[in-house]
Amino acid sequence: MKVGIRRVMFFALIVAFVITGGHLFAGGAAEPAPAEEVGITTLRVGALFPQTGGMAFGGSNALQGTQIAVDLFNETNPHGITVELFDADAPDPATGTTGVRQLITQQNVDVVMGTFSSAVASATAPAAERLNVLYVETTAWAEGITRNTSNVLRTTISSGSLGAAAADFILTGLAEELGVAEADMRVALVFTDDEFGTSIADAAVGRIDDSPARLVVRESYPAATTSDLSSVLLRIQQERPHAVIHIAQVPDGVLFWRQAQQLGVDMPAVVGVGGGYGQEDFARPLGTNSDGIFNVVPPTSGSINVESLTPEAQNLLSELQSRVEARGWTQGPYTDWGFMGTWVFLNEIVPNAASTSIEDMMAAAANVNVDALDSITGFGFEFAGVDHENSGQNLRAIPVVQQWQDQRLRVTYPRDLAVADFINVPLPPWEERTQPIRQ
Amino acid sequence: MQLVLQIIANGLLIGGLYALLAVGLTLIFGVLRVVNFAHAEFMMLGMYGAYWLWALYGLDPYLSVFLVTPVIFLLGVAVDRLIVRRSIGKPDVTVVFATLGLSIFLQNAALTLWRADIRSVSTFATGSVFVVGGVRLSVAMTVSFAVALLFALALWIFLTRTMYGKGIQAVAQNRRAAALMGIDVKRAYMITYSVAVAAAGAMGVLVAPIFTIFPRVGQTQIVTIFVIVVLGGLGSVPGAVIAALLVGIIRSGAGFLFGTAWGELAYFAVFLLVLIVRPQGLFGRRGAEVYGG
Repeated sequence: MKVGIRRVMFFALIVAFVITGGHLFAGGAAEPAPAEEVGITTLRVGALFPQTGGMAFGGSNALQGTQIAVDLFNETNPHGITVELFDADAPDPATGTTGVRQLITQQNVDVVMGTFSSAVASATAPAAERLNVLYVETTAWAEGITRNTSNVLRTTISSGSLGAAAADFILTGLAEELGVAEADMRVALVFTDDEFGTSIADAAVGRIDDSPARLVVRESYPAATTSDLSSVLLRIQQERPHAVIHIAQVPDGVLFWRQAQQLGVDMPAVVGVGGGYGQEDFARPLGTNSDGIFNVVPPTSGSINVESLTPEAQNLLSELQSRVEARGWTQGPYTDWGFMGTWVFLNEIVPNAASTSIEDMMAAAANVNVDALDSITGFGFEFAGVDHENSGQNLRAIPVVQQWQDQRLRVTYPRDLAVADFINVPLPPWEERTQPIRQ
Repeated sequence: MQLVLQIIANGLLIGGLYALLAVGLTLIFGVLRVVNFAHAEFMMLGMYGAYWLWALYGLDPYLSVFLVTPVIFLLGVAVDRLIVRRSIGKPDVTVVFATLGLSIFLQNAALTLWRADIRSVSTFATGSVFVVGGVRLSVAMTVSFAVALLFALALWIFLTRTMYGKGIQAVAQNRRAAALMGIDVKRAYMITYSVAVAAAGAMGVLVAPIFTIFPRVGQTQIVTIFVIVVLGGLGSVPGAVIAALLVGIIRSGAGFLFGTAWGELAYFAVFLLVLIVRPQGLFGRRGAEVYGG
């Protein structure tokens, strides 16, 4: 028997690309369905998060926050509304699109909540729009999610504000701390080449281009297949920037720092943006070497001074913490954002909406006014109207700058929200550091 | 000049990591004619083995490699008997989807057993470097590089200088003729597959102090490894090593000169160019991909 192994090889390569490269095409034609006109006594909510695959950890945290918010709402709600929760897995855009269709057409959900992943949300929110269903985004940040859509309410931050905030911090607070004039600042930008990374990077570049500072390195890489960042680190070493903005996930974030140590690449300051730099899984392997690294994110209960919150918000946080603990879960940033976004949606929008139609929900959202001190995450809620370029975006979701200190994140900027002073600015050279510590 | 040397050193070291995976994969191609999609998952299992032995017992990966590798070898024996051997001789798609299914199964088994948490191992080797002529070399990467080259050398000597190795080569050339000559073909398959995946597992242990560990970590490497195997020539152990080092250097050099994204593009361009000029790969034999018997 003659078997063409070369044919098999090429087939294998193509399949491998599909596996590792993700699905480029998601969505497709779907029959538009009319919104269900109900007087909202029962709300069917679909929760769409990655529960398997590489994003399962953060996705599950976000889903758990949503589940607790729904449970708490059903137990305590004064509005006589019962919420039924249905969840679907969304490990990638194609599966997520299938999931959103199943939730809407088979489970008949009135609203879909998600998504943790910007790549998934970019496919699933339009899929929900085609089926005329509201999409509440609690945890994905890509700028495009609220652009050119009419059905998205985003309770969390947008990537554009993250990128601009990172650049703003470097050009103002950090420049001052380093003793470098804004005009003399040299900035490097390293980012993942997915939609999430590029949208943050574009916003940062826009801010830097509007300033007298110089962008000396601009490098992107594919996070899913990167096993070596030495070339970008050597470019940083050559260009000697005062600050590096790194938009990363956990694996490439850790790899960046381990290789920086191996190559002896000293960087006065590094500002992380994105999911990677804000997780304990990032700081743990770096040990004390993480002390002094910045991270720009929406605040969470773990990074703010919770004693400044209102008593109601403190009680809400205690309730969340006890329920997370009772179920043996781990409370992370995405738990907070998933919980608070869902909580505000259920308590501030649903009771005030005439029906579950997108228009009525959006109209109710336009009147939301939640102060930052009433929120366990430390940022308030006010949604952009339909005429806004980012309609449905929470305009009060403003990022803060955190810094790793003793392997804990603390808000250090803006000064009026800071709970700690800067440390390790500039970061000590590698020669002066201790070796990484064990867990 | 020192910068150029550093770029070349970085490329060689990362190429060494690729080599240890690619050698095993090309060996399986060469002998079994099986596209082992699950190959990188054995690396993932090796990484988890290193992690748990380090986290629970404080065992350094350079010691645990001697425990984990035999376990992965035995796992390879089981996989050969239960899955691989049964797919040999079947239609192409059966072979492809048997190992593809195994890959997905192993990823999801890891996800179920150990969750999607990102884990890491920090040892003395993690941040340690030694400097040669101003060039900084990571201890962990250098050890992995040395092991990869030693493994490839040992394998090449085994295949070309021992009777059993020559028997495996005979199986690679013509299974039926080899069987008629008294060679135990099934045993040759079993040893080939198990040794190859054990090498992948060993690599997983050795790189644990460098990379983070999660269920899909193997997928970060697999496309590059397939490219290396084809570039080096199907079934060619020296070809896999040289192609791995070449890809490492191209990626590192082009990444520095033109940007990291261009580094990926550059080695794919070389890959396509080589296939146009020399379809059998750098060191492959023309017709080696056609299975006789």
